[in-house]
Amino acid sequence: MTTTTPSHEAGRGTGGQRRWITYTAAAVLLLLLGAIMMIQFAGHQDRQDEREAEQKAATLHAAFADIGITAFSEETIARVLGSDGGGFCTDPAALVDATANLGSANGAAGPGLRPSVLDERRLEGDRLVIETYCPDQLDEFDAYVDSLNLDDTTTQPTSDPSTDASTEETS
Amino acid sequence: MTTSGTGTAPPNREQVRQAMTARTPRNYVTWITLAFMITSSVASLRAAPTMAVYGLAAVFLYVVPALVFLLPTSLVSAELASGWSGGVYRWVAEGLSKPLGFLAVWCQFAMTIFYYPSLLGYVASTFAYVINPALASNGVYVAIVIVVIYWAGVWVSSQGTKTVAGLSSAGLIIGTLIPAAILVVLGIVFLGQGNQSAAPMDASHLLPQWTGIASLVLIVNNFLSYAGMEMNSVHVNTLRNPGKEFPRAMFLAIGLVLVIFILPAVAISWVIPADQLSLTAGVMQAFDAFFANFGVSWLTPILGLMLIAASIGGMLTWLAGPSKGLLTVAREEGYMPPFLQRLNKNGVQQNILVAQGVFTTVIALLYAFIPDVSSAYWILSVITTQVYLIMYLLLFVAAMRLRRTAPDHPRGYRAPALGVLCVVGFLASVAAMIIGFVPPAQFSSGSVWTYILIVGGGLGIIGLLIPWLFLRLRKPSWRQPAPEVAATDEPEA
Repeated sequence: MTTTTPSHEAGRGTGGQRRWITYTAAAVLLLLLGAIMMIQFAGHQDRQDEREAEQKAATLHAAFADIGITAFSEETIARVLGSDGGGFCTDPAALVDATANLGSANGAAGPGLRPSVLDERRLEGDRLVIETYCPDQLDEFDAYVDSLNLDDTTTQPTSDPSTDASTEETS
Repeated sequence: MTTSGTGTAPPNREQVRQAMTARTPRNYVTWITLAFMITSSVASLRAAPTMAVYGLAAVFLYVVPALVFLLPTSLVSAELASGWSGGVYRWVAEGLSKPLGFLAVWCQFAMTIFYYPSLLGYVASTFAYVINPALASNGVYVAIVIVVIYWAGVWVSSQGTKTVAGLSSAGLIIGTLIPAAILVVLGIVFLGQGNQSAAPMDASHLLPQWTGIASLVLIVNNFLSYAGMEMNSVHVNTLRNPGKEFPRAMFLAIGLVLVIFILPAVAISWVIPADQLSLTAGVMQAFDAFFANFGVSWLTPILGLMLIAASIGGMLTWLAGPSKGLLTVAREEGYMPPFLQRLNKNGVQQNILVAQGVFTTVIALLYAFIPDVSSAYWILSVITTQVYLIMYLLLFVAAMRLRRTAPDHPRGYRAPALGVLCVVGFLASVAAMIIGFVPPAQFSSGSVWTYILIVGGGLGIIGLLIPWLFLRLRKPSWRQPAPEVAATDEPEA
């Protein structure tokens, strides 16, 4: 990526050598981390109770259909949420972070990241997921939703979900 | 504390001078590498699932802010960097005044202190999603990840710009460009298999429906998606021919940033309907669902690793950039005690990085261990983006003045219609600042005025009071000016 260093440059050898040691160490660390992540991810999926995952996915799919939300296929739900709800059920605080990070942030990926509009459809769907996979955390989630100021800077679902976010309405 | 990167004797004055001027061939980076650094600072795939919810309208939501904010900041920075070295401090100091130059670089630097914990918190949650989702809410785990990666980043940064350039460029390629290409190819395969796009792709869905203040908040907040484009101009002297090469780097970065933001978001919206996207608990789960659609869930941990690499690469550029700008002004005007001005033998402001690291560590520990801090952290992100916008306001005013007061100063590039660019960029920054005072849904307690007081108070303390104290407490004896190297001191071809 960087320019080739002239061979006569004083001190080049030491600096270049140290730089390549750093690059190599970073690459090795990344590969090691990758191996751990692959093994752990596969292990986590293997530990899921397949039958329970399918049952919960069917329940969730039906619940989404009841309120008119286009849901993932049951197979995809089972694969992503497993039998334990994955990221949804680790902790309500994690869910709050997730909501802040994905559901209501602007389009920045760097230092300009800050809260933007909150899609109220998300809260309704989140509640169904928690109700299905970790109902013991429902009270805490409801308390969080109750604390939100769902007003002018939020959006809510339209009558026709297929028209997606381009037809949002203010609450 | 040693001032040497390797723990040996402190470098002498001549070594420091040589390191600061940094125009020796061994320290050059190519303009493509600098373009990658700029891109790495601003863009990643982190925002793709968020914006995919808007389907085709995501294009509008990125293009309009690009016209009113990305282009003005980038083209104005390209002109200024092609004429003056030293980054935003030098531009504002030359165009307005030295104290305002200090204010500008302080705003850029202060913002980063609060940025690192949230960035590394995201790294921690990405890693946790793959290995054990329960870890994401474990304070000890989050604290360890933030502190270890941050200080490893400080160590890497202390090795010099070239090391940072190599790693951040690699982070961009591995962590953003390759996975972005994978997402787009999978999206095309999805359509190629005869599937209908999940999001309508006709002209009637190009614009998000106007819904009053919610739409305004959505559009204006997206201006900040491009915050940071000017930051790497502080490294302009590491190019062989800064006057010509920096604008080139900036143009490539503009293209890359737009491609990275827009194409993957649209590709995701082809595959996953908006309703489904809004039902995923975080960025990783959204990607997991995307891959599950193709039966390639095994790609999820690999993508997680790539996103981590991209985030760390981006962090390195932020460690190396604003602190270098702060060092320049600290040495020239004596705004900081000599201890903080010391350099290691690579010419890196190691002590500023360490001091910054102490603050960052404290904030990170509060962020990781105190749930109230974690859940209220978004307020800090609002305050710091407001502080950052002060820098942009100063940048545009300085650029206009420099065109009038120094029209003949050699510039490798002259931005077309600079006056219009500056006015548009200035107004966009003002709009973003005003929208920053609109309380989001997360602000549950208190009135609008309470929110305005909190954000305005934070803005006043971080963006005005602290830099004013630095100005008040500075001492002439703290000055240690380094020889200046003009960005255009090499002849143009």
